[in-house]
Amino acid sequence: MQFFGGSEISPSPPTLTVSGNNAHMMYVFNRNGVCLLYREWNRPLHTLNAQQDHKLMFGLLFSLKSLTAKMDPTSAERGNLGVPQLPGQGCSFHSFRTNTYKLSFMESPSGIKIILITHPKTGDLRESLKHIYNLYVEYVMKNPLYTPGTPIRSDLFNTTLDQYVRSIA
Amino acid sequence: MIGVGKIKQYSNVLDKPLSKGKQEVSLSAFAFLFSELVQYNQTQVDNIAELERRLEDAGYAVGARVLELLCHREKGNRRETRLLGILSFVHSTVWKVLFGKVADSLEKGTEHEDEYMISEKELLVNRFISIPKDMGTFNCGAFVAGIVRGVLDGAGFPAIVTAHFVPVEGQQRPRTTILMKFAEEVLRREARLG
Repeated sequence: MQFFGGSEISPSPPTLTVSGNNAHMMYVFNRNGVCLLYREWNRPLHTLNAQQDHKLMFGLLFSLKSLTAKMDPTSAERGNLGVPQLPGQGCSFHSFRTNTYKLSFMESPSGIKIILITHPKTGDLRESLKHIYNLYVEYVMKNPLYTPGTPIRSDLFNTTLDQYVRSIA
Repeated sequence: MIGVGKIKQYSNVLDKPLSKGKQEVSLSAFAFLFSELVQYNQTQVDNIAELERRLEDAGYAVGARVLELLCHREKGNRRETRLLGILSFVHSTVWKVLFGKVADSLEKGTEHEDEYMISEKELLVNRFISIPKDMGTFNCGAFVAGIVRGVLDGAGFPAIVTAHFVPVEGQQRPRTTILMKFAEEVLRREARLG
């Protein structure tokens, strides 16, 4: 989208804070749309309350995934738009970028969706997201005191995650 | 079957030679199995103390068998009669076989004569487990405490063994200490043996 009138109208990308994390927020959803984890490191603007925010995010990604799979020019089969897709079916959408942030997305075969929002100059985060999924498997799935399908409340997972996200370039 | 190999089939499993077995087991497999053990016990009990007791009992069964196995394999059927002997057996041999390394440290308690402590930076069973705040002082290391109690009981050193978290400044995760409180008769026997 072109902004008329020069750069003072369009918001400039945020500068990297030296001390803070490089990422802004992170969401983890399961296949039913339950938000398992929401971490926020650097988010100046809150527009909606938490519930609506999560629902909006989940709905957005669900539709985007569906849309990108249906618009795939290389695939032969075309279901109707609106037919739900299994995880991993069709082409996989992995990120979108605006002038103020970049959203990276990864879906595991079990339907766990990991969404990471970072500054727009970030490179491809697919490997990082895979690593975060690995952390999820280790510290959340192997924890007997966690019930799958409920929000994650594990200090160990949170600390390891913070440490890892801080190290993403 | 073609090419089944030279494995001799024994009709009675007790006749099979006691092999050293596979030295390595998948950590993930163990983590999931242990996680299921804890979850199963959680459904059977109402409170934390009962859960810890059940984990300890599970560990006790393991400890009793580990003692027999190790005495046969490693020590040539020798029996430990002194307190220090059995403590160093638990601290090195048992830990090495179960967890792949010797325990971090073995200390004598300062307040009471009958207390000894084995401490570890992080128990293998607790590696992936994070205790939520509302469970208080629950420690899945109760399983390991049960193993130690089984070994000590089988060797003739009855004791009460418990696992505790000890916070350490500078470290995020607290250290774990296995506290062994020996019975009166053990100390009297030690004193008599000189």
